[in-house]
Amino acid sequence: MNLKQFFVFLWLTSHFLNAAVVGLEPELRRDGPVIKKVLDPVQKSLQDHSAVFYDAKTRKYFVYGTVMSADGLILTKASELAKVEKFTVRVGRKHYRNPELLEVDHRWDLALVKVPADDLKPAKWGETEALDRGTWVICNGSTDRKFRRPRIGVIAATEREIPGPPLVALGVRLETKDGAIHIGPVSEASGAHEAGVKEGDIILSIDGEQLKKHEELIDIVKERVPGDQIAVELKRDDEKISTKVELYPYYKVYPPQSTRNDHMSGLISDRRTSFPRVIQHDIFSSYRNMGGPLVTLDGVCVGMNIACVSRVTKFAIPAEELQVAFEELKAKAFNKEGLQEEVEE
Amino acid sequence: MTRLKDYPVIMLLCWVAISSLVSARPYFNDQKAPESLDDLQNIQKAVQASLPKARAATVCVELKEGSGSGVIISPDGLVLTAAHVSGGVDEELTLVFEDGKKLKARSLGLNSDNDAAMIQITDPGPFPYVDYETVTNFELGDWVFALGHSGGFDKERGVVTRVGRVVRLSSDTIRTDCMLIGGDSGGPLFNSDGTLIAIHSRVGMIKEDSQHVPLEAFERKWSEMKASEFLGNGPFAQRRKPGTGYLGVSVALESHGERLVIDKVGEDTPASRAGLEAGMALLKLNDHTLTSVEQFQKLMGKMAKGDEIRLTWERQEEIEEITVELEARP
Repeated sequence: MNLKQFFVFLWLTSHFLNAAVVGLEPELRRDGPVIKKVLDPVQKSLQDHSAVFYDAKTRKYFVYGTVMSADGLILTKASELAKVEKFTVRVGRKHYRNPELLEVDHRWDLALVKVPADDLKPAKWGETEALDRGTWVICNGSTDRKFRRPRIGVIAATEREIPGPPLVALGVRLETKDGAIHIGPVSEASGAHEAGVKEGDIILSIDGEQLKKHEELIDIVKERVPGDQIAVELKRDDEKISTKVELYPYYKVYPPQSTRNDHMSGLISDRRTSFPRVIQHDIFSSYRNMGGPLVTLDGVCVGMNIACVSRVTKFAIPAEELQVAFEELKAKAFNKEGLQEEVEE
Repeated sequence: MTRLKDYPVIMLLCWVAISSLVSARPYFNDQKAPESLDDLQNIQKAVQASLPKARAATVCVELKEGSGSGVIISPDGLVLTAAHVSGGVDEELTLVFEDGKKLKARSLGLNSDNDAAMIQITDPGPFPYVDYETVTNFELGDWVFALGHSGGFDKERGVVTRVGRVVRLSSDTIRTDCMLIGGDSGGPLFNSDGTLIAIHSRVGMIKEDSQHVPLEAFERKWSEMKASEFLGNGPFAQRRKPGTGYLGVSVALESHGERLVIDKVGEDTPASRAGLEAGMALLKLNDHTLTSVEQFQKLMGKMAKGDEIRLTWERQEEIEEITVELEARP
């Protein structure tokens, strides 16, 4: 082959290669089974520190949890837990039929759950400060009775606070007219609607206190958490009405308008804003994959998945903040009567 | 003329050049898949070493509705992006760096067939930029990373990073399993060394798939795009069609003067929404002083829907300049 032929050959082959469409075997993808095999040592960490929450009625898993102590304390995503009436929990191969919900931290959307155990393996926590973009992280992908299957992705953005609306909403528009607080349109998905509050009502008092401006009421609501009740005294025509209004989660009263990006994203979490601090990763997941631990290649836990925001955005509570929130939840739960002795036994 | 005895030397040089290219490929790209956690660590190390420079050159492209991304490839501010981001030729745009610094820019040419486009920063440089490769020097399974301002600019969050593999190759598109979303369009795809190899275009039919325009597709029409040409008749950008711009007024020459006066304003038209009313005198259209009905109609005849025009009107010694966006003729 002379030089000219060589270049013609080169030109022909390169042309051929360009025109041909070729694909990578699916099992070799970033999230494929071949790479998952490499993750075996990390899978052990997921296996030990993950809890799987099942709906007792459908027997399907609906969210994960993170093992926080040997004696059976588990953290999970509170707003997902609230979706089911009764749940069961699996850690490793063992299935706990009667777990107990001890306490909820609405700020972080965390629920503290206890199962009767004394030999669980709590997560080993690392630091998140050194977690630069591009660091591999692994979390629960799917599960069967025996195995928690890993999924891999990377730290995608800067650790930060996620702003958002207050945790709860009263569900009414308010207007101050002539020194009185008037109720405007009432949202149908609200506790106010449930309690029979109607457009045109005038607020006389809230929790026994008279208010001058509706801004004061907004400030009161801002400090409350889902499930709280406020006593409302209303004037309708010439009638005086007293009622209790339950405060529903903000995202239920005013579901965010679905954007094009939401449509592209599939099964995203209902509660996905208003977190004091998160780390962001890109692991392919849905709202059902939240609640479990987020681990690095060396098996160290750096956070707990808390929100599936979009196809590219997932949030996890950083390890440091999670441990503080856990201690607070524990203190709150154990201050409740009777529990102290039970746990110290 | 090259003599026959030089051939071995030339062949040797070729071999050296080719083998040096091959050896420049990180070893993990020649593995079918990572075989150990160390291999994964090495991919991470390579990507993280490339990230600072790549992030510094990645910008958010602010649009009327939503936003896209882009990447600077020269110190004087040539930016590559997607055609459906820049949207048209010679449009004023604002670019935002990761730290929030804003820059003025102007769209150059685009290729509506394959979604390639260029933007030129008009503010003075020099700017941070990345190296690029216009020959397709990557293979199926190569490890890559994608950057972009997913879902819009967020200073606290910064540029969003994704790592994945090349999963499909053709001459106008490459696909990866890096996940993209609105706002990423026009953003850069890099090989693990931080060399720009493609621009994000769209999301594939399979959920985990993303499609990117390889730099090779830019290269084929490089000079045309740099010369602000609108190329192709594809789906990614609509050609500006003169004569389609509609304002919604009729004008007449003032009976006792030389000024053009609005005769009628159509209901629910760009003119009525901009506050134009019958009786107002129109003094200027963009930089043209208006002198006759024919001249006004001729100028308007060159306009296309979506164009923004500046009109100067006068009424009872009150003079004001307004900007009106033209619509399609009803």
